[in-house]
Amino acid sequence: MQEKRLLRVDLSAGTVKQEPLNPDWVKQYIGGRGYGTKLLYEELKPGTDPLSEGNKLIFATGPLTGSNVPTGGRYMVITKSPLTGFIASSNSGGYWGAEMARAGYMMILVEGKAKKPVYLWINDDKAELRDASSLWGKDTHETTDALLKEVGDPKARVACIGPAGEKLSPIACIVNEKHRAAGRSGVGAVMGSKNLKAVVVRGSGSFKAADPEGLRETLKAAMQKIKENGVTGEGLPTYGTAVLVNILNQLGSYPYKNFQASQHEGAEKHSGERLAETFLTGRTNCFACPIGCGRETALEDKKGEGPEYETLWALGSNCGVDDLEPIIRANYLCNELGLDTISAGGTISAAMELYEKGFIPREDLGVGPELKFGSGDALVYWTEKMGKVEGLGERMAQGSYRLGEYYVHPEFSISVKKQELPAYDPRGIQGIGLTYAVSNRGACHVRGYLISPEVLGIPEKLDPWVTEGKAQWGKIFHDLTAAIDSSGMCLFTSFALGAGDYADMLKHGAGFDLDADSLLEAGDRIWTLERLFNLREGLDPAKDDTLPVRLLKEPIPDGPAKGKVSRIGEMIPEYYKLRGWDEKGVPTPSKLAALGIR
Amino acid sequence: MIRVSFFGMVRGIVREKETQVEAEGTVADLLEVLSGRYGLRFGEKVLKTPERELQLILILNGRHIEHIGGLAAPLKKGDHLAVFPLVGGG
Ligand code: SF4
Repeated sequence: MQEKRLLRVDLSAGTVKQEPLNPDWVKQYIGGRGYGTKLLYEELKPGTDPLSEGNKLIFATGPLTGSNVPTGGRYMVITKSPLTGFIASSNSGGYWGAEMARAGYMMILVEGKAKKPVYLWINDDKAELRDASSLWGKDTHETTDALLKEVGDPKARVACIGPAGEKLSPIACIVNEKHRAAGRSGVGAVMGSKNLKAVVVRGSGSFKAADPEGLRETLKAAMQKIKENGVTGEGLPTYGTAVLVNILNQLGSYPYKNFQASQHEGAEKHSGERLAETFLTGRTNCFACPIGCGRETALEDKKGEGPEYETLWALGSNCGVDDLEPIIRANYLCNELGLDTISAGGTISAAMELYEKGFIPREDLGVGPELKFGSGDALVYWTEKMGKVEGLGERMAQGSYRLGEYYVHPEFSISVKKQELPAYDPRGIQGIGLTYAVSNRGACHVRGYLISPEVLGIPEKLDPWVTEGKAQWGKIFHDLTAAIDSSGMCLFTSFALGAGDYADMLKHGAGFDLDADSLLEAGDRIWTLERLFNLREGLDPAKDDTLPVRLLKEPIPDGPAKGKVSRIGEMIPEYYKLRGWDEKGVPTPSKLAALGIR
Repeated sequence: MIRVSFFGMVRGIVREKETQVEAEGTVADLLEVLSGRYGLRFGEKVLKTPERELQLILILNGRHIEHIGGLAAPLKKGDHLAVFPLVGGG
């Protein structure tokens, strides 16, 4: 196993020190999301206010981050979420994670609060806190450029927050290399609450495989599968994620205007096909990635990356907006100001519905444009206000749930555990609704991407209208994803690879004693520990493992999925049972014993 | 008449976004007609071997054909078939 360490950063004391990792935890929880969860579970005092000095912020790489396995460049940020009050666990790509791993760290644990703004500069073994007062208030692009200049090493990588994180917006993200984000659950606000503007890292170490010969063979097979698979070999490289817009819209499960409908006539105008004909300028990929799903784009006055499918929907159809230009502009603003695009879109759409229904009075908008569905001007203007936390934007920066609560209509927040829903309507695609409802970090599609079997037909074609069998599929997907997120690889490889492939890579790459079954068991253990964390923080399954009333009671009004509502009630009891939880959704003592969780 | 829309790289092969087809019978029959119209490249993509067929996502009136009878799914006047390449992830 790699001799990686933990870096403990105490911002209150102004100290940094290295510590060894706990080998038992590595065995049980692998690294990344798993080890980070265990670390948070053990170290965080229950009931801690997420934005207080007492919260802990963990940057976590997996044992394969920084290696030459395909897509081995991911990292996670784990903390207690200011958005949900439960676990936050956000994944990002790019190059930052690989740099951190190459500097020799599997974990960076940040605790306390700095007296004034600082950034953390890690150069291999050396790590120090430096003054960041002059950067406070700057956006993520300015910050990145300034820090690269300051540390004087163009190969260093920067992860930082923008004004949204500084001003403690619970939908603020952490942005690395300007365009990649640990997006969800408000991890950026936790960083802001600690007065930590950025983490800059440079690592010169190289990856040493536990069994180089075995790894070479494993990689050959894995690369072959990735190349030959229709999705990873052709679909994602050619069109990125944006090509999903038309598919979901054809299925009538592409939420429109804050989920008031689920098909959008103007969707073609912001589809992946249209993007390719207009603003697309190139492709990008993350560290060691043979797939390369990233898109480079340009407007007349600006260049950037994305928007991805989720963003096209969140800032597009969900706000009733057809055209690409304002969507791209709002997407750039989110990256610059440090806002999660899904939650930003979900909040603007909720604000539009609240305004159109008369619950947000005109005077609260100040001089801003009316919050009308379909208005590109409103989209761009209010994204900026939200990112800068100004005017009504200050209220919106609290996320859709708190915004709705303030205007006494939280039901217009389409969220689970206060986190905004992604781009698939769970009324027309039943299984993904289960993932949204039970996901430990609130509504999320990448905790278990059931869209793969339910829409794309991979690895099997499951009928999206049916609930039968979905609990079982859900559990397998949830467990596998937890393991992948702990390894340091990108979830998108799972279109082509299976549990056995990941186990092989962890085995030959990092010396783990794993096979397909024990890998999935590790995933189960990680998922269950996240659940225990949430229960300790006051999760009430009956109230929290559910979907917004609209999706349970208001049928899709037209299109192919007309008349459908989500039937999560048919899946959740079975899901709990399969997990070895009691009927209330609490892990049983025997299940915990079987997983070796104390 | 059946309305057929093309998406993603399939558009590049057939060089149009949409067409109308006089077809009867099943989705398989319709694909036969389309292969005749768009030539070898389309035909290979769609029909040549069962594996190749999996490289497309076919949505008939908003339903993946797999859940309404597969290639044997019957067609009726006014139907809409959307033809996508195999893609993923978001
Ligand atoms: S598949 Fe896309 S998101 Fe995943 S590592 Fe590659 S470029 Fe990054």
